[in-house]
Amino acid sequence: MTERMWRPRSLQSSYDVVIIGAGIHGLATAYYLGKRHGVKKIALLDKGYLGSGNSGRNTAILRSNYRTPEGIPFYDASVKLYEQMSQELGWNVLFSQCGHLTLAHTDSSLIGLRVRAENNQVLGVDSKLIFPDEIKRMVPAIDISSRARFPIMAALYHPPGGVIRHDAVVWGYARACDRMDIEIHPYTEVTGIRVEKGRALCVATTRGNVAAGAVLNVTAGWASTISKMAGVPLPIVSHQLQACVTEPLKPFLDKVIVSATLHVYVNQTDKGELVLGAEIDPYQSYSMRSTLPTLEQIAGHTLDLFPQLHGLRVLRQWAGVCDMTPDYAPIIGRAEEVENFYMDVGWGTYGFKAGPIAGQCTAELIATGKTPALIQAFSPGRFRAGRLVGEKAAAAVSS
Amino acid sequence: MSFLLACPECGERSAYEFRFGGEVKSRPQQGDSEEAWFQYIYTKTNEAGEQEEWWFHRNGCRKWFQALRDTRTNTVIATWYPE
Amino acid sequence: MDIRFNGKAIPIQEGDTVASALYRAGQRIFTRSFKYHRPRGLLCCSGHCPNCLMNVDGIPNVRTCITPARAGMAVKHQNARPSLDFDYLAIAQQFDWMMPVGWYYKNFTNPRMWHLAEAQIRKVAGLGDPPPPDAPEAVYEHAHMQAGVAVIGAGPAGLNAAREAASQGERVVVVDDQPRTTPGDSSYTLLSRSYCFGLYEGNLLGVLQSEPHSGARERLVHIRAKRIVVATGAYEAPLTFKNNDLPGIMLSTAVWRLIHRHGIQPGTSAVIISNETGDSAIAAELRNVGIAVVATVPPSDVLEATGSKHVTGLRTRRGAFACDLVVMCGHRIPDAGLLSQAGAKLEWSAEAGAFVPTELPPNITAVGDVAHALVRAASTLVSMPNKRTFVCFCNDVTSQDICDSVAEGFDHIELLKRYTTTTMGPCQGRMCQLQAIGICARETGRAIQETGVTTSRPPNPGVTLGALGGARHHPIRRTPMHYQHEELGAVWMDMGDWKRPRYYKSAQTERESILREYHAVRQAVGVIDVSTLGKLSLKGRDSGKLLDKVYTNRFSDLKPGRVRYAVLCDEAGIILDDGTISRPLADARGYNTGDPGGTRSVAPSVSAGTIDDFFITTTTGNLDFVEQWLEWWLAGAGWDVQINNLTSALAAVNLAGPKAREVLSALTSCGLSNAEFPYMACRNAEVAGVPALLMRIGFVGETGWEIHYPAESGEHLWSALMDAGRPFGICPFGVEAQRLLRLEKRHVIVGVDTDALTSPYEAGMAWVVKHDKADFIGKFALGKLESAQAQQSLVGFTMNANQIPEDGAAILVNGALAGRVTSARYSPAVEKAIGLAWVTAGAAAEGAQIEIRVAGAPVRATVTQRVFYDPDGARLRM
Repeated sequence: MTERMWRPRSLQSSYDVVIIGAGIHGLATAYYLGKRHGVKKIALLDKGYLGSGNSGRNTAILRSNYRTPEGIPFYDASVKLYEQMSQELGWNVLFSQCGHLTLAHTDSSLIGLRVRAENNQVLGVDSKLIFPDEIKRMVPAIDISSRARFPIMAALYHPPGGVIRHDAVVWGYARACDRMDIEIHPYTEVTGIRVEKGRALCVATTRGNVAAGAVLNVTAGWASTISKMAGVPLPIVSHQLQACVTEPLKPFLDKVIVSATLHVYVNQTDKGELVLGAEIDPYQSYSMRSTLPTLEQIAGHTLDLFPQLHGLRVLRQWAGVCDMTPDYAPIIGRAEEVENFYMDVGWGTYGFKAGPIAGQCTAELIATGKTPALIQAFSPGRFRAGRLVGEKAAAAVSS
Repeated sequence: MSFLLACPECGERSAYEFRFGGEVKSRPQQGDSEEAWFQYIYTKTNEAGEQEEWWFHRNGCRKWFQALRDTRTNTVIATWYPE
Repeated sequence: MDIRFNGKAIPIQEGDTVASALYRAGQRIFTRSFKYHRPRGLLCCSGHCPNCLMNVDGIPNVRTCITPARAGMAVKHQNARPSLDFDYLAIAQQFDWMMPVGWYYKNFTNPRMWHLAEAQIRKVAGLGDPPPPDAPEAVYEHAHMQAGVAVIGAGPAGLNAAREAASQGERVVVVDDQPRTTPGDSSYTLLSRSYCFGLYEGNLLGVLQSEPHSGARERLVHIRAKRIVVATGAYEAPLTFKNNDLPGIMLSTAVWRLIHRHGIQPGTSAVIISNETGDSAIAAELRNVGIAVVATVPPSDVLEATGSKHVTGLRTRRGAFACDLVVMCGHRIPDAGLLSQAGAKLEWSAEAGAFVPTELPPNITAVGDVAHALVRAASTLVSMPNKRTFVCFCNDVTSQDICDSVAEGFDHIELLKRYTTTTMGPCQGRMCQLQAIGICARETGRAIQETGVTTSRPPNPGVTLGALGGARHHPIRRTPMHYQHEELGAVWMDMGDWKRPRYYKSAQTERESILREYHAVRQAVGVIDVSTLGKLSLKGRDSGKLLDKVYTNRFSDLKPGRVRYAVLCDEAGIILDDGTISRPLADARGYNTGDPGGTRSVAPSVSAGTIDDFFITTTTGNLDFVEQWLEWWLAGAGWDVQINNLTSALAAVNLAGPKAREVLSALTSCGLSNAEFPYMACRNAEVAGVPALLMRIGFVGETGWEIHYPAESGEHLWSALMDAGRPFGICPFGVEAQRLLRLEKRHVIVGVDTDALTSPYEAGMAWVVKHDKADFIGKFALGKLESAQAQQSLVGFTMNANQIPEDGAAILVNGALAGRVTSARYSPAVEKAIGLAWVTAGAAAEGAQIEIRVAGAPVRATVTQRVFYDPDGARLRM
């Protein structure tokens, strides 16, 4: 009798914690609530199939070479959790810790990389600047010649970075949660949240209403929609992010390449396909329908780096919706307006890599009421206090 | 951006010709409460549905106008110059 | 006429594809499959499956069955070593018991084991060979078309629709993937050898045209159509039974094409698998070319195909038949991908055995086989689990794999897809999706409609990166004096799209060249091209009002003939940009009032018309943003302001140094004395006969003038300055020297010393914020920031010893991260390395000791707020 990864469950009438969003952040939070804090009566709600949101759409890059003293230790903790994840979950998440290169093609982006190299080194993260000859040795396929309009000037080389099989992380966590009897409810859309006297009492869904001791909004693309149901305003705008995949080639690229100037990501999967990513589309949208101009830009910039790949075919493009905050850092914490409404949102284009640590910290917050040091800088109240985090230059391809 | 957007001056053009300027918000007066200013500066409606927003015709007449667009489908319902 | 296959000459005939030529020459194995390296032969002859992928002229993964053969082509096999006939990795098939679906998730939970295993897996993965970095380039084009009606597919239904639309006066474009054999109709435009890969928002079609002309390999045609008619027909997908992937087992479409298009007899004795009773059309075709039809069996009777490298027989419930060709009359699948992309729904029709499109969006229609359920159901049977029954040919996913996956809980079609990777290969589901859905439905007990399909996404069929990228033009912006800099030995740098001289090579090393420029400016005179600055002119009664509203400083009270430093903030109080704002003297003829004569007219762009004219400069990269920002605050306000972008219309230079006045006075009759032209004043005057706006400002800390003048006089005025300056030792200077000069004056560069979080208070610019203005952008936030405790400050520093830190170096206080260097250089003026840096508030006091990392090691430095060179500004006012 084959064991199922996770079982279908009927929705009960009440839970200690209702987690809205069963992507990797939600699953990780549930996992740690169960494992470390003994909280078991948890319902994970998701409107689609598991991994249908951003957890299944991202380009699966892991790294900790961020810019700020708030971001660096946080993402570093996440990478370390990823390193142990397969063993901990008993499920290979295919973490290919192959090394990550962020390319600089202009003076200003080179300086930006240097700031990151410096801050990373001071805080103990392996990261350093390397120059075209060494880049070429590491990535023989890349074009470092002056033929390019913006020749590569340097790269931030980050050995602990790499890629992972994003779906495997979702499945691994889901199985672990299911084994703890944490209930996973896909195809269950939240339609409302009843708040009385500053407390969230009940979550209404397409499969029935559930009373909740605590409610966690851990959605991506739907952060504002869900938070509005609870009467919690957010400084978030949602933009589409697109990516695509090509036909497989024999292996020739074993590093993750990101260019901040050219706004493109390139990496080669274990199957040989190239996964190519871009910066967010420059307008707000929830449509998740792929566009041609973005695909053309991705292709053009990929060819700027690897001109010999002009005959390689793109097989498929897709899109997800990213929740962007004013300072390109997430919002993690309890809402000021509703005492038992928690949020782990605003993850922009850097959410997947933070899943495990965000889950661990959010679980600790919900279970103990105390905010772990690692996430204090990401509190929802920081905007009012004027304490924005300075990650904008490091977060994504736009710099 | 391949959806079509009707510039009030130039007519229907590919959205690629325009720059997006965010949701329309009404600016408080100096002297209004701190809360009003805080909401104006930071809070976003971020509507999954019909939204009033700003667009600039960057590759055309270079004028700002407002539009009503359904952000779920990128269907532009109306465009106009603000008074 | 021939092509070469693995070096061997293969003759080609007219109309041959690479695959047909190879097949005629006896080739039966065309590739080895992805996972198990099973031999694969021609299956679809339509470009839909992965079986014929080869390397053609260096391009990997070419679908040889639809690629026309051209004399001289070099074709090589891929994914088999040493040869297609004998592939070492075919041994993988012996270990299929070790590699069930999901095997790599369930094993290798130890990271070290995974690392080792992954290295091996990567080596055997992939299909085509990556071209080497020096592979030849090819030409790709982009084209744009508009159409009243775009018809996709030139079959009977499509052409019908095209003619009908054309007869109603519509401009019609028809897209078809077949080569054009008959002359087209002049009533519509036909794009032949073109396929539509995407139906995007706003009825934008992406179309890929192969070899549009001899000069280009591919052309991506963008068609914006008011109405779209999808007439893409239906394609055939394989049946599933054990060993259904052997070479020699072909779809009826492939058999038909080999016979009719290429005059090839694809076998000698055939078994037809078909639900049709009696003699089928395909049986007649076969007999016509001398192929014996050994049997026709329904799909439900098929047990397995036999053979190892080619089919030798088919075992059925009616007996075993020896044959060398199995013709599958496969499932007919409406090619509705484009419709799905556009948002149409797919509804299962049991009688057609197909998903049929419904709920089409407005302005999109479907005609022909793609639209109706005229297609006959090839088979309602869905295969039982078996490790040799192939559902996904691209990734070697068997029916066993799919059944096992559902049992493991991956029972939603999208989960099943991701777990097994079915539909995720080059065919993107064309060959396999229907079977996968059928198996999933059966295993879960759900109806097929409820099981549903996976999301359709473009580009389908796939498109090359080259075609998508097109000509890949990258603009280069050059100032009017570009070639003069080139001749002077400029070493270039990029600033956005602009090329600017970093320095001029005048000495052995970069450092020496820059110092030479520096000393020239400090001791004699230098000139720098600042044409890349953004330049805006404002005209209209409410110009001053707009500037007061949008900038933190006040400008409505700027006296004509004066210049003021300007800072732009957003509503959160963050610095967006800085620059200068000048108000030229009001004079109808645009001349300095002290100038005699003045009968010559001036270029209107720099003339002063009325008292309400302002001239704004912005940083190089921010011009577009500033212009849009100003226009935005004007929108709907009803104010009388016109903004003009003069950036490309004007060239600009900065002439600076103790001898600047002498040089300039040789070229202009404008009064330049301190009395006539004080610091922070502006004048209109002719310089070298060119009408110009002069501003006496001092970014680099010496007496000097910024001169703005018509771009067409760029070279002339530059030459005039260089000639006039020669006796004084004039030196052109570049961005690097300028950076050093201004650093000694502690002048902040927005975007270098400030970032996306900097307020004027943190940057030491409190004086630009005029809180006594009733309202301006950022007033509220800046009011709070003024009294708030800053977390960090922008400070100056000097190194205690000789090391020079890099820009971006980290700053430590008590070993902890406390900031970063934004700009650092060796200063000849104080003979020390100096710089600007962000430090945490606690370390920002005058004289505070900080440590700056130089080559990774902390080095002592001293915080100072003092201006390093000429703090009183006497040199500016000479």
